[in-house]
Amino acid sequence: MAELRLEHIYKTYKGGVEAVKDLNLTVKNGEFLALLGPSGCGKTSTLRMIVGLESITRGEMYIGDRLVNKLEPNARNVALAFETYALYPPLRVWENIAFCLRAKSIPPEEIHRRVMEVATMLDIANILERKPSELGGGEKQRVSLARALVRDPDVFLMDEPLSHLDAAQRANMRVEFKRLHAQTGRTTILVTHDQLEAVAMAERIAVMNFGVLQQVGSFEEVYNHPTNEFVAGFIGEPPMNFLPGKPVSENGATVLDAKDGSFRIRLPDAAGAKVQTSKAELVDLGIRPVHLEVTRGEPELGKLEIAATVVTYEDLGEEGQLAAKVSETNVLVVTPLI
Amino acid sequence: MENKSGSHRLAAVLSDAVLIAYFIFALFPIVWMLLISLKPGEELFTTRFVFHPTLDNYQAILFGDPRAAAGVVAKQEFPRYFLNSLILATGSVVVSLLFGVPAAYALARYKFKGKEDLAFTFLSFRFAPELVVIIPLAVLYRQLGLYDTYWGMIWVLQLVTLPLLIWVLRSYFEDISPDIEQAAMIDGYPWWRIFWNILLPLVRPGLAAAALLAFIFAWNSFIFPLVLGASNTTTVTVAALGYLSSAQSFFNRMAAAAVISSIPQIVLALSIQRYLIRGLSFGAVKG
Amino acid sequence: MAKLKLEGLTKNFGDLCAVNNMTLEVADGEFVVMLGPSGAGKTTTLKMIAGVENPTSGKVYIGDRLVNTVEPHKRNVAMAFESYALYPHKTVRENLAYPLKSPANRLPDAEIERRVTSVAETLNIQMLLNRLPQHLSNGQKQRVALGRAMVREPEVLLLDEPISHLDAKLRHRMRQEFKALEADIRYTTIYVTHDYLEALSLGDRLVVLNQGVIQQIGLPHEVFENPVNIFVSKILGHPQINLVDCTAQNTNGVAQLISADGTVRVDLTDSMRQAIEKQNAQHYTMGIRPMHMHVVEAGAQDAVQPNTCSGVVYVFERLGNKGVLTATVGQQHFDLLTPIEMDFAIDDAVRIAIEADKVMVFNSDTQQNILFAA
Repeated sequence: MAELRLEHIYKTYKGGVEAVKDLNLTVKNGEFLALLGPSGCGKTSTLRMIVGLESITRGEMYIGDRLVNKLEPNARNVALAFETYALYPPLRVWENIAFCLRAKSIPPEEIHRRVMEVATMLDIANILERKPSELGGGEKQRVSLARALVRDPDVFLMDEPLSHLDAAQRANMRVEFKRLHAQTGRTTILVTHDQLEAVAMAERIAVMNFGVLQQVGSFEEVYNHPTNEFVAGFIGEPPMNFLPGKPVSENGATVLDAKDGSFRIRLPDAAGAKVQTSKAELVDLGIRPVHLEVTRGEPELGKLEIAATVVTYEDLGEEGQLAAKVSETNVLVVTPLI
Repeated sequence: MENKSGSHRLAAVLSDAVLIAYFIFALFPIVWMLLISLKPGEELFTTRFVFHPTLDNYQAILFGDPRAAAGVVAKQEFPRYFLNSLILATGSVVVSLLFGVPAAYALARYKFKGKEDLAFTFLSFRFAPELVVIIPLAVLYRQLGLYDTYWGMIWVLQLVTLPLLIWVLRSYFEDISPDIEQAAMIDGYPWWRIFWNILLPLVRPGLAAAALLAFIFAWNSFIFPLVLGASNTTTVTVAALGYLSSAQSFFNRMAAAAVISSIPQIVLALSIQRYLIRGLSFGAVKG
Repeated sequence: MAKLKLEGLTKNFGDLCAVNNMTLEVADGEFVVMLGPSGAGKTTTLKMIAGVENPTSGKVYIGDRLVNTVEPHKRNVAMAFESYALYPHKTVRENLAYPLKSPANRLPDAEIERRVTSVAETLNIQMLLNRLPQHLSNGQKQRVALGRAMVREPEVLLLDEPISHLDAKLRHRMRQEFKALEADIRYTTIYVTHDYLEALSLGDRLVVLNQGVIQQIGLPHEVFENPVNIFVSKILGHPQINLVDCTAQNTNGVAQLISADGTVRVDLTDSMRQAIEKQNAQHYTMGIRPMHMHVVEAGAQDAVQPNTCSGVVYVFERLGNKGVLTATVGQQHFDLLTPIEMDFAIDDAVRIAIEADKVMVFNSDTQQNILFAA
């Protein structure tokens, strides 16, 4: 186990496509970090550079104190569980897991001990004699994890590990991963495009977009204090609502004016002051669907109000979701059921 | 990293060299045939390479040879053999399409008893060497009056063309989701229009590739026309043999005949190349 | 438009019974959602209505017409397939126009053009009209498939998992678009899905299907609140309802449901007590939805607090806009919904309160909800 440190990492492909730009990121020893972003954000290039399948154009990468830029993948002691599992079809589960150990001429008793250890941990001890073609999706996933973990890697990476599982298996694996990490305390990086997965599993989340790291932080930080609109909109489901408006100063307070006059909101003082100092012409008011309420009567004291027209209302059992229109903008409200 | 890219480059050069070598090796017989067909008789057996191109051979084949020796194929008949080959190969493919397309569809879509056995039986026609069945066939053909007739030849060539069409097209039909047919039914179309408007266009690449291969096999077929045909149905393959006799061997004329008889295949292949590449690679992998 | 009636509809594939004696009436213009896991017989049912599968027995009526022997192209039913089933060699425009050019529905060219344009605008695919299906994303293909079904103005519209293959974000958006679209769709519609959120959100009525048998028919929120059996209670809601094996006992004059390991005790309401007396079964299964369990402050009088139990945190996850706490209580795992802002460390002790009046009680042998009010 070790810390992973990326310092000013760049990846430029032939033809000048800049996949990763000036990435600085430290994954602490024993930490579970999610590398999150939409497709094309550079997360896969980053993953491939860490594993060593892709050369680093510029910058330095350290695992522990070792500079690993020039090391071949097998010399880095990094393990990767592939999205598509990439199990060896002719080998039985046992041989799949033991494969990389055998390559290192480790004594057979030691191999047996380690295979049994991860197999027990991942609850696949009963399927060690089977071939990959006889396994279900969840089982394949576990075997691919076991194969990655059995090497006792310094850094453990998972590339979209849940994307080929059905909903129930996914929920189950998420829980098991989290437990597993808590038990082993291994430095782990989860690469995913699904914010739900990242938020559910990781201790810290690194959000990337267009090859640039947008924010790194705990759930609390990225959810409540996003650095920009991209992070704000990407984290959380249903996604955050954005209402565009023009800040106007009024009796010392700041008021947000919709262009077409469909709403006027007096911003809280702290937010108002920041808007004033930023001197922005146009701002977006971001508010999460769970932080909106529907009222029909008089406005309550201290609450901001916007008039909206109902588009649809969905009763979803545990909650309701109201879609409404504020002028041209769609706004979603999550309502508790009455 | 430098080393790595250096070795990559070397590997690329090596693989190019191997490909070029193979290209020359594969193309050589064709080039050689072309050269021979343009040589006068005296230059055929020289030890050093002498080459004074002439069109005499082609002229002799197509329009007759004023200096014809006895025992050589009668002069102006080559165009007729060519026509024979054309009729037989085209006819075989058309008949195979008529029966093979519905058969392939049925084998792909319907579940019925003995389906795989039936499909395998079709394929097994290709296993047996033609020589094994040729004697009984010849006897039968004489008794049935099919000997040396177009219909008889087309019928027997089905052994060559039909299995090919059925097996290639079957995998194409299997690749089309039944949902698409059902969607078209629900969209308001009777089955024959679905077959014509939806299914056929979708299997067209396979159809083109299989039909072309079938045409080539039928065209090149030698044993059947040799044994089951005579003067009425002589094909170019059989006729080409006529240029070799105990008296004299006109290798140059045979080569010219071969060149001419490969023209239809080349023209066909080029005209449907677009489908062919996709069809051959795809169908080959799938089938 | 027309009403639709299925009478004792059954389909066997060899030994497998895909649809078993299904009877269902769908009113003219009604939007019915059919919910079930894969293999429940949903698609087979749709295909029998469309006429591309023949029922083993039973009858299908469209309007007052028995259509068992009517060929698909003469039924005036439209269907959007789960696999989209777009014609790969035709452009989006040709795909959309194809049903209208059929012998059964032939319209004048100008009218076809008008309808295609109109449906493309409704579904926001007008810029894709000249593309081939292979150049579309899944979301776009799905819209085209939907458009091809809607362009006909059929008597019955069948939709097979129309948005299930999209990713979570797109599915959420499409569900809402669909909901908005519903106001425009006035056809008799059957919408098949395995996603309970679509089922709860979209339908006028909900039909729950399992192994070819209809389990329950009702208004979506009624089915959620009042499921007829354990299967129905499990298929609706995420995380799944918590199920606990238990027995009914009297402790110090209080009637309670007590879990097999004794760690969970829930006081019975009057209606529960009456239902249990009537059943008089050995074993019951208690069903508690994650939304009806709450983490409470541990207090000194824990032992005497009714309807609470203690456990340890197995794992805590934040999902979308809420937190899901999985806690180990005795032999069982419970899932609880919490606000997303909360946080729990693995193996922390927690105290859990159960809303006793929201608890469902099932007979363990028959799997039926003994509190079910028809």
